Amino acid sequence: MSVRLDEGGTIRLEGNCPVEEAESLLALLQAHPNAAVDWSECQRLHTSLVQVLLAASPEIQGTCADSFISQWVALKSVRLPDS
Amino acid sequence: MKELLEQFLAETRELAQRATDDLLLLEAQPDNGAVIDGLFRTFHTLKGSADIIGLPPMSLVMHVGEDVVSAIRDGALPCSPAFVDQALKLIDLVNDWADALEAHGVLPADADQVAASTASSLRTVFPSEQEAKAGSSVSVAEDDAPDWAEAMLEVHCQGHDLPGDRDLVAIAYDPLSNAYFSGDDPLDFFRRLAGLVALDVAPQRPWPAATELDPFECNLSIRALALQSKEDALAHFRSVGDQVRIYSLKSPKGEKTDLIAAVLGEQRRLLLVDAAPDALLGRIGSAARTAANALRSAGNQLGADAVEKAGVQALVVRDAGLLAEAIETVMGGGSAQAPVPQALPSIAQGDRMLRIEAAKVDIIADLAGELVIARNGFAHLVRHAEAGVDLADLTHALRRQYATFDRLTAAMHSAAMQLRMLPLKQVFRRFPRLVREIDQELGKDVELKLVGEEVEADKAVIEKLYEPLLHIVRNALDHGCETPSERRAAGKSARPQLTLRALRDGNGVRVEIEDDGRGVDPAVVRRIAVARGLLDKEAAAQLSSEEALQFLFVPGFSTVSQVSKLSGRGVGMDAVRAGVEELGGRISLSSELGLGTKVCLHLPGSLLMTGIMTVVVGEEQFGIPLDVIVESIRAAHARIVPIRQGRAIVLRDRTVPIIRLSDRLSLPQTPPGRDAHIVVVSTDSGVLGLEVDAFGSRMETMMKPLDGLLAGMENYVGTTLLGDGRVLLVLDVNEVVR
Repeated sequence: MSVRLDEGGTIRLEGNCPVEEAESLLALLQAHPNAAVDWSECQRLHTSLVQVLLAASPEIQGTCADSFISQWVALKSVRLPDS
Repeated sequence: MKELLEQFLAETRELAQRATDDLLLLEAQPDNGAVIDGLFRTFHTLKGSADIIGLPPMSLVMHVGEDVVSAIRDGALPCSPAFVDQALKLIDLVNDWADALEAHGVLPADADQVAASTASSLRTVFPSEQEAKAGSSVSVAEDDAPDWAEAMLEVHCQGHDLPGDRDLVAIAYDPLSNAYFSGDDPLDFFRRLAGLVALDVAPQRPWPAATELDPFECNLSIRALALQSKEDALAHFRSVGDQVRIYSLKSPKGEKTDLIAAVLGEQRRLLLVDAAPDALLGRIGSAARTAANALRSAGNQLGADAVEKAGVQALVVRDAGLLAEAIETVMGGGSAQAPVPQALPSIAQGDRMLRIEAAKVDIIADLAGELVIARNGFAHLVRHAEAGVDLADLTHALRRQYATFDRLTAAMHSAAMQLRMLPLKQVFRRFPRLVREIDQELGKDVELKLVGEEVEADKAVIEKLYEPLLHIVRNALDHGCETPSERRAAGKSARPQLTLRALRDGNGVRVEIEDDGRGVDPAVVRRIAVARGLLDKEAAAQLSSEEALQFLFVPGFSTVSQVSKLSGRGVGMDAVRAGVEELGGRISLSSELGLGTKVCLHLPGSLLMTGIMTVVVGEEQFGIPLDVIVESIRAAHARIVPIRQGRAIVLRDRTVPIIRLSDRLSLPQTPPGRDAHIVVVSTDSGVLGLEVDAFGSRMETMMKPLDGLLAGMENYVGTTLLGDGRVLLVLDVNEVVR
């Protein structure tokens, strides 16, 4: 599993996260709208997951292990109180 | 799981119907953006629920359908009749699958292949789109660098020394919404791009609500700067060339313009422009980010912090003005601007179908509350009675309380009946599609009008109305409406009009089906009636035109094979009449030769279905209301034992007296069959068995009270019509056994 919810309620992206995982990520974010996303173990992030993160704008923890993403794709960690 | 499936089926059918409505509307108004949006949402929801319930074939076809609708919405694809045809087929498929799911719990075995072929035929609408796109932007090279590129250069590259001797390109990549689906990883192009300097990722369209988000629909707009030659960049993006624009930029060298101010000013301007509510938050976020970055790059950390803080506040209160003000302050004040127009709250929510109008439920809740109060009144009376008040006073109080109670229960009853009322829309809405289809064969270009869809009638009427209406509409299209050339010859407008109209009519509902076609010739009807031997020549000659037309409803009239050639109606009109009368309604027809025909259905507004079971005694059939039937059994004659003058059977340690129905109804006794057929009924005189000759079937039917000559008949509570048009007498069991 490259996308999972850990015991602490944090959504973890790990290893290679291909396009199919976008749906799992979205489902987790929809089910746990307040969960933070930890992507520090994510080696490779597909665009579709970036899009989900942009759209859902969860709290992001750590630095993405995918260096391209961490260098070029900045994600806000500002959460809207009502979303 | 079963409940989930049931809900899924109900929702799917409803969505399919909604999509059909939208598609037909789109055919008439291909540019109606709201309808396209609605259609997109519907397709999207269908896909989503297919995912939830786990139906990959349906998910696949809906996804492709959604792509096509999305392309239409974005203006990349015209809303052509071919698309409407394809999409309607798609909806048919979904309906078929829903039926299969309901019947067997699984999709048909060929669902995967069907899905694949449907998806690929749907996709055929795409190539033209891509050609069109490619055709217009294959050069990819308008050399005027866009403003965003300049701003990006300023924001991202301040303080970095870009080598002035290398080419710099700005890349705008707006992937198609099906990019992920076709295997693209848009950011990956930049991952592999040499010399990347700056990258911005933003939504193409405002993000939908979290629940509406489609993870597989690409909604990103990517902007980048790279130290590259334009040729290399073009080659790099060749496979998505139709979605990418590349511009040559000059490297910034030395010239220090007040770009920061320009960036800030631009963001402020954007913030003050009206934004759609759902775009507002995104706009605030991006403006805050851009402005803060610009300020930071200029070394203005304090300003950047202030702007960022204002951005968060603006997000919280959804007021772009706050941020605009902050930016203005940082820029050094200046002229006060007009107050920021407040964005309107979002009202574009899809209508969630509540099967019962909430107001109706409220009425019942209110009444229930009043009933409770009325009940408390009784408690009060009881205490008075116990205290031994004057009897006359008590009677008076009781009577008053009774009146209140009576009023409330009557109101409650009518409110409960209201719950069964549905708008005629539920039947009418099936017709646009149907008329379109029949019309495609006939080529008459009929214009269908629906009037009074909001008129309500009992659920039972609504559910049974479709078939009679269908017959009438078919007849009207087939025989009533003329072809365009015939109409022009007759001096009429080219398009025949067919109107379905519902009106309130006393306690009932009147449904009219009116066409402006050629009408029915009473002379022809007379001739056919005579030819069919339904009446003799003199009698026919004496019929008024109106009376003559009523022969269309006589069974046997319509079996004449040539009727349809003779510019008349008549096919199956007797069946239509039977159907309408089964609902407790009646039908009438008026027609003016050359001007059109109008069929009126007079329907009861509210009625309740009664369950009955039919039984056979000798040659006759009778109905027994299901609510008095305990059970029906077959028993060997030997089990029936004589007790004094009567007979009885022991059922589960209980002796049940048996009565022959034929005796009670004074019908000739028939020779007994192998087994006795006994309907055990619960009556005022206790449980007993009615012996009949055979059991018929169970049916839900509209029972009409006895009236006219039948009114005085004992032993029967009412009549109903059988499917074949025969009248069935329904027994009053209490009366029969007395």
